[in-house]
Amino acid sequence: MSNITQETIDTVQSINKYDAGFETDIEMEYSPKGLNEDIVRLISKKKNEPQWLLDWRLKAFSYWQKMTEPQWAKLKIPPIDYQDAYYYAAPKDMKKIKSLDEVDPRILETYKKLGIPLREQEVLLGVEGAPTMAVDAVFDSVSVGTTFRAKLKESGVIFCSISEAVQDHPDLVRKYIGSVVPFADNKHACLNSAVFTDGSFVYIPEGVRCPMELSTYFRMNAKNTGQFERTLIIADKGAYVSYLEGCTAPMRDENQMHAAVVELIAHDDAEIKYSTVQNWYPGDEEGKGGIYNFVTKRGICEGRRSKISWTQVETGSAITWKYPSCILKGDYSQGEFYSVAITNNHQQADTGTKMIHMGANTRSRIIAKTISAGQSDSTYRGLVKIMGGADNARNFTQCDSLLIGDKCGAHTVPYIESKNKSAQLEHEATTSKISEDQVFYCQQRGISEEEALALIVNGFCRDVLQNLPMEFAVEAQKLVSISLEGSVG
Amino acid sequence: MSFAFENIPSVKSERWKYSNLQRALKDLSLTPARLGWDGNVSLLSPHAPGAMEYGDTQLWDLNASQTKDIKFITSNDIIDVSAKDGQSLSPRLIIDVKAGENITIIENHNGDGVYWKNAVVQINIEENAIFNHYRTIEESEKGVNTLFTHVKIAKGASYNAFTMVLGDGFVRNQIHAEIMGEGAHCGLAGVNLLASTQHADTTITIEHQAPHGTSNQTYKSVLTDKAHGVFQGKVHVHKVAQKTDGYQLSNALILSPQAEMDTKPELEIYADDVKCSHGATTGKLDDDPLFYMRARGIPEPVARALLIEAFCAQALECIADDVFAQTMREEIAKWLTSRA
Repeated sequence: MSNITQETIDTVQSINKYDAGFETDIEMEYSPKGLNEDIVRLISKKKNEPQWLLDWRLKAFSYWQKMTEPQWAKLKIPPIDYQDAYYYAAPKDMKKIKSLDEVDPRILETYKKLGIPLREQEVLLGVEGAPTMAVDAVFDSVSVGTTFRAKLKESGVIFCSISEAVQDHPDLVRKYIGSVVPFADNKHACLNSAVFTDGSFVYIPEGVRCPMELSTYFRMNAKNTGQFERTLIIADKGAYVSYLEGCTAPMRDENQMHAAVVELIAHDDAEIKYSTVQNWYPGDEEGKGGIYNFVTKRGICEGRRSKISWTQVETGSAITWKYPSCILKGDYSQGEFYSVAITNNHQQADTGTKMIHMGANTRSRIIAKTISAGQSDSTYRGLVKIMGGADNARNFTQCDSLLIGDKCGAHTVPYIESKNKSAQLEHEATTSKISEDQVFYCQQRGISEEEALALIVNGFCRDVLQNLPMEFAVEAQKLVSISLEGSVG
Repeated sequence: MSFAFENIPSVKSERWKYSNLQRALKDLSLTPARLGWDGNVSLLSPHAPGAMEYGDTQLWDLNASQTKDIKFITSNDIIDVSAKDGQSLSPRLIIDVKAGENITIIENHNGDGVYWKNAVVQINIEENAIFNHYRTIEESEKGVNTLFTHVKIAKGASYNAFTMVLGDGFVRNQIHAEIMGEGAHCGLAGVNLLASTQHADTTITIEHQAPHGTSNQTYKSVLTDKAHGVFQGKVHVHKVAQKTDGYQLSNALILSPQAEMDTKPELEIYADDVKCSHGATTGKLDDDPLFYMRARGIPEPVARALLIEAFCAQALECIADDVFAQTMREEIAKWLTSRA
């Protein structure tokens, strides 16, 4: 007789679903459908932007019309109809809101359901266990609120949405926007430059260690929209910041586009730690629907001894095209890239990094773990480039792939270019399957095959997961297990 | 020239990213010539089998349309592919190794003055046969050699190739191996000793299309002066090729500030029960062993030469023929002395 409790049934049901796939019913304000110069002007006007930014957007837009999509990735991307989407969607009546308490309760409820702490009162009142993390919540095209701003301001940290930064700190924005990712960098970044609607802005002043983790949570809710956010993080001399990014979207049959640009600037002795848990809707088991995730992320280690570290856990999206990169310009600067990419069903991922060594004694480290299941295809693509001036540069790269099932593919495409005789570069890659012995060992001890798989995969990803901040690490481990549901048997 | 420039692969093509053949050929004035091999042109297979999907068959096609030199080989042989000043050659070698046989072929590629050799070597190895394929490539300063080798390996058969690149000029050594039958083996090794403004590109694709296949790649490059080395190696494991064991190693040693090494080792895997890995390093001579030897009275040039010889040794281990292996050791020693 079976002895299954209700709890077990609920657990199984909950993990078999894409948890974040619900939709929030809320009145939205849209721009007209389609993309043209007027839409770009409209977005700029909605945001009350200065002329220079509108000019920049228009220039990007005119470039975008001439550019072609990058073709080199190992991805099958159906033709995208850029005119069949809304480029601006915001919850109605956003303008009048002064504090988070006034935000539509349905939006707050959405974030609560997703487990995102938007209430700072609890912490301020000293409720035990309330996480101290400042959050910028972006709902479709607009930021609905940023927590802990006052507390951050005490130490001089600026953390707000990029739209507010354009109004309140125009000089900083103007100086840095597009300085790491020029608008003509690639077609997706170019589109973002023309139509970006919101995102986060962070400035850590000289010598300040940001007192708490900063995070942005992106939620795509409205139908037929794309999300184009832009994040700009500047760490001045000797500053430190750890920034987290999370993203989810409702389950829909049509594909939605997400084309973000993230720029990081680290001055002398500064350190930026950027972590992402990407859980956009991946599409259903037949490969229907899901998000196209075309993201340009790049950081520059401008100053001496500066450091940029990217950690990413990529489990969502129908198609992922993403290469968080570091330009190691300052002498003795360091770049790190830790990545776990999991694809299941019909997902496709082409992700990796670029480490451009320009300064002397620069170091970089790449650890990439790729897991493919179902009928998915996953590629690690990474470039390590040593310029002539990068004396004594050092790189270590390790890429491991795990295949689960015989219908998926895992690929490794590293590019290693050295123009300096004193540079030392190492690259290692392996591809294997989950050892039957390990699964057998677990099963013998009463652990089911699926649980054993989750356990082994988590072990495989450990090197990367342990680089995530605490709160995210737990979340990511759970995600790793969920993403592989149904890939056994 | 007798060919249209648009038929020459450009650096825009992913597989030619690091080798600018159009630039190498740009100002050469060449006339089509012959080596004087006979052979029946009608027996020629025009297309590179299986290579189509990589979209890199331009030079094969060009060879097929131009060739007047065809040679069929079925037993041990030594072949010279030498070009004279001003020649444009399109030789084709067709090697057929019958079931159960064990043969060795040595190819010597060289030339004088300005020339372009666009060679295709087509190999078919039948069941349980062994083919040892040794090559030395020593081109002139203005010589261009594009060498496209395609090999099919049947069940239980084994292909062992070693290539030594010396000399000068522009070399593209492209190998496309297909493991067609169960338990077949493909072993590729090479030493590239590159100097002056030499450009040497080793581009490999190994396709595992049957279960229990093994493949091994061991390449060592030493670069000095303004030399440019390229290594692109791809192991493609098809869905059916379960229990494949593939390994790929590329080590490069850069001795001068102006030399450049570009490495792109690729794994493309569609079967889950496989063991595939690759390793790639680029670096300089280790200071510690150098110091150790000098502390024991070994002069620096000798110590350096010893270290470089040791660096290359692993690739030489793949040569089954002792005499040829010894010749290669001597070639390395000679190269090192001339540069000390």
